[in-house]
Amino acid sequence: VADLVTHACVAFLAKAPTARTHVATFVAGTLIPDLVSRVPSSALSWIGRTVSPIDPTFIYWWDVLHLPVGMLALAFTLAQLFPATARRAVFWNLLGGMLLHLAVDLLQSHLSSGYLLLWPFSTAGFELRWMGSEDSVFLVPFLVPVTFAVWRWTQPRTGSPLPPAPAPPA
Amino acid sequence: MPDDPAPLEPRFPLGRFLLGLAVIAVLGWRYADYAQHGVVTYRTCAADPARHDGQALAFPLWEVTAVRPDGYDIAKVIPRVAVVGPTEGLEVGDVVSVAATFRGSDSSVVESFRIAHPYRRWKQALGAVGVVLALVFLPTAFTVRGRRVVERG
Repeated sequence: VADLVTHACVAFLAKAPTARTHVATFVAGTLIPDLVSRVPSSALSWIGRTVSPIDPTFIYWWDVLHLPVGMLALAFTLAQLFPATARRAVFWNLLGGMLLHLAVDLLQSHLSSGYLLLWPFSTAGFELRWMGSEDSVFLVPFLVPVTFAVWRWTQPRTGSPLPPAPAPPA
Repeated sequence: MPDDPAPLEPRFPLGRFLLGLAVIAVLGWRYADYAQHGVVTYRTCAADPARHDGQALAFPLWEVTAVRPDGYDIAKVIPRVAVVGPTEGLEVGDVVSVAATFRGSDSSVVESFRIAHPYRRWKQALGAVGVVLALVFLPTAFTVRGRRVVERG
């Protein structure tokens, strides 16, 4: 799991060259997997070993929201909260953000089989192991200003420019 | 008011929303069951130590909770796993990944190799900053209008 600052920066960088519609939803999509899975499971683990024992079922339960199948279900559910006219775009931007989150996480290396991308259809794990799980600590000091610069100095894509107006008759 | 969806908005899709929640709930329970019974974990080994003696186990990103002369304790989902292995440079609060084999005689695990994560605290701090920023970002990026969530701006 990369940190949320890295995930947010990558989301802004991914949206910078686009038409920049539904940016907030896309960025929220990159933040949500950790907020709804890692944060509660870590908190419950901590409570379980320091306050009162907790059945592991309640700790592992959240982890499915960090898998593609859970992300799909969560994006569908959250999209229902939005107006019908925006629901389809919200769904795809949420899901796109979540999958981008997973793609960034896949770059890391852990002492495990990796992420279960096809669960529940397959239990084969996968990760690219291109960077250590703490390497984002060294990346963030560069990534944040680069993201600000790219967002500030690139223009959103606006489609084909309009043809020039015909010259008035002499 | 063209920016207020309330007058034209059909009723809330409660059925689809509840269906989504139900699917998430079932997936969560199924995954929790798989995580505990679909793979061999320390808990599996401890339940039948003789059968799982010598079983290879992995403990990625576990916290050191005690250091003893002959080893150390780690905790994560399971509150305490006793590890037999070298302890040089190890302190309570460190985060380590441990590859080990289960020892049925005392339900401890014998370290095969260990990966230190000295920058884990920095990453956790960065993660906490990220959570705070996210909790600030989300309410400022979205609002509720006409009983629907909408993006601001």
